[in-house]
Amino acid sequence: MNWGVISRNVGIALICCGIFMFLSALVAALDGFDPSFSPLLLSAILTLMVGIFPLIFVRRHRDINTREGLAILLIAWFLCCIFSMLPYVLWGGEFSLVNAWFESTSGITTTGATILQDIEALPKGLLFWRSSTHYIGGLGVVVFIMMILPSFGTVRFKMSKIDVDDISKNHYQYKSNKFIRVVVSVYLGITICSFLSLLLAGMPVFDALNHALSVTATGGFSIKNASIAAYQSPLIEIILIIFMIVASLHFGLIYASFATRTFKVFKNPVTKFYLGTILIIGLLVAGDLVTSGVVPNVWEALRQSFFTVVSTISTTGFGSTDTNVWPVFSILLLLYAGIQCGCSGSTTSGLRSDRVYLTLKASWAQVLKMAYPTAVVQVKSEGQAVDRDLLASVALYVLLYLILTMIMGVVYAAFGLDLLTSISASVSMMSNVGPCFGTFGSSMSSFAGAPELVKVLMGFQMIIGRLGIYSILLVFVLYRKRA
Amino acid sequence: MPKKNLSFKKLGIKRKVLLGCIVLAVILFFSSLISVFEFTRMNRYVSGVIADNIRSINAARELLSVSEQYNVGLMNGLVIDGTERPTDVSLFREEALVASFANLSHSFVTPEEQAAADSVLYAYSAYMQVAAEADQVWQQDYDGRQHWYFNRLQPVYLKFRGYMMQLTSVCQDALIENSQDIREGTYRSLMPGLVSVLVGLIMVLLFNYFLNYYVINPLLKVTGGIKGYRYHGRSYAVKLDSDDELDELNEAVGDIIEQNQSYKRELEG
Repeated sequence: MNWGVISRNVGIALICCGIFMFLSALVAALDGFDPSFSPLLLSAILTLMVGIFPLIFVRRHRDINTREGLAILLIAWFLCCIFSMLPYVLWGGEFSLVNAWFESTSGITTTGATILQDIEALPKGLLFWRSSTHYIGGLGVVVFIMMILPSFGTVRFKMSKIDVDDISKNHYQYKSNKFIRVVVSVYLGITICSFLSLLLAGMPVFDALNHALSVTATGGFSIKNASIAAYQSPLIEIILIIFMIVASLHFGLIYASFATRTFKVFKNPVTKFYLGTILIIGLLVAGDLVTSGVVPNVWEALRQSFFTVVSTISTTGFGSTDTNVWPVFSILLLLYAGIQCGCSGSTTSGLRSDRVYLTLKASWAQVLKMAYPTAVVQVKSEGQAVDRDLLASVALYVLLYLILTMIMGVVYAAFGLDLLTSISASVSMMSNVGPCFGTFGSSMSSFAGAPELVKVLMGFQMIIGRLGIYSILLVFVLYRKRA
Repeated sequence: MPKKNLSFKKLGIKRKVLLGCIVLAVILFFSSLISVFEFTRMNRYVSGVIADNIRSINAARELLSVSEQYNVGLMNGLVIDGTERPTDVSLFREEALVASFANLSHSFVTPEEQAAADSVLYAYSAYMQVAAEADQVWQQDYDGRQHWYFNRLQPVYLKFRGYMMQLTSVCQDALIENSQDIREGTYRSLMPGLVSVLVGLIMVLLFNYFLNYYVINPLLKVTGGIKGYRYHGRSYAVKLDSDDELDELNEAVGDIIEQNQSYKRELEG
């Protein structure tokens, strides 16, 4: 394994982080050189210098193998989380070392859970940096690397093969260069449109910018203590619902819809399944809220229900109400939404609707097979038979996801957290949703009170959830193979 | 063999080492600059905050003391002695009280302090309004003067005093809050240095690794290749993962050895 190549590419990822730190320092400077200016400037300089260092010594390489690509992916993510801690550590206040790790991983992995109890007390520079971490992580450090990587062809292809999971690759039928253009143009498009829409809805410029960065990455960091509830604006909530849904759809299909001027994205069965899930869960939760008397007004119940369901299933995690007071039925439905999540090929994490859709289809096919043993039953998606290996991989992923989530839930419970808190926190961290229920309940609460070791573990769980279980397991397999 | 010129994009060893040193220097320079900046800011802030707090506490104490003297003066004039007019007795003290109030706006800086000072100001106005009746009351008999003092003036004074005590405690609380700010300021002035030293150490290790891997090791490989040819007659087949002068050196050595081998073959043939 060529460590020079790895360090060079990881260095480029750090340079991207450093650039965003510089932008945040610029925001701090524009805010009258607020106290976060020097922590951000120093962090930017340190991160940039460390990122530049390998570029001085290591020459460009055109060839890169899978093992190196995987190492680049993992080390880049991990180091980005570590270096993103710098502004927080230098700032101090509520950010102890553990809290900085939690906040940084939560930002980079687009989880959106926070340890801050008073977000509004932070200066604008740091608030912008929090939102920037979402933006960096949203598209994936690796895509940033590919954007500015000077070599073409093999390197990019190898890395995209790792970063984009098996299912979403089916829809990315572009060459690697075009793939980058597709992802970046959709990403930028969503950012610009959401920023302008929020601005027109009456949100202040700084708030609109931060929420646009957050919603594009399906992150969830807000600059208000009460999250979106602080604005008390149904229009803002509707705009965010639309962009949360858009950001959790397949970017390739969104691009294709615009390129061909058709509604290709809505013709896709997975998209239909995803939108159908939102509709059903949204209506069930609204009905539950009305019948239980928590929200007696039907329209208000629909508004709260759909915002929270979309916020959870898209793994964004914005909050418009305190979900801790919701009935158990609604909470369980939200937990399911947090497991299924958005579509592959977007910035969402979790199981993803594609896997759930295929698992359900495969299960139905299995039932048919049991009923008619001699029949040839195939699982089809978009009129094409789905490869059995892919189905096996999907089923195993679902199983692994559930086992790992359960194990982490048990680990959190061992630290004294109650059943609802530990399970919902585990689901939330694994799917990068952000808010959970119970002790750290609802999207307006903080994880400040969690035990220190739990916060460290949650950070790692967020990284596993973001990179996918297979990417992590692949490391062990490849190294064992080498040994 | 035609000599290859190193293009701008291909960094030579000299430039690589220089850039490596510049990177380290930039880190050290900026971190020390930010540390000094934060430390100076912190120093200025601490001096200002402590001075403000001491001034606030002193002002509150002075106010309490002057108002007590004024009130005691009135009590002497009206209740205990009764031979002197109250205005003659307390004129000086009233002036002192007014002077202390004039300082209030400069002394109290935080919103909590200013709110407490405002309450004191209103209570003071109410107190002075009642105290203004003292001249008329002085002409009354002892019982009338005593009744006025204890039933009319004293409750207003106690309220006024209560607000002053509250102001004093707000000033002391502000000192506690400021000590938290001072602690955070100290942290912020220390952390840049600490983090930079840590990152600097990592950079030194990286620098050492890169120098070893991309400069020393290639040289050792070339030397090993030359020795292998010279002492054991092995063919020279060193491949380097670089694009600088070492790569040129390697190619040049390879060419020389190849030439040498062909001369040898010619001589032997």
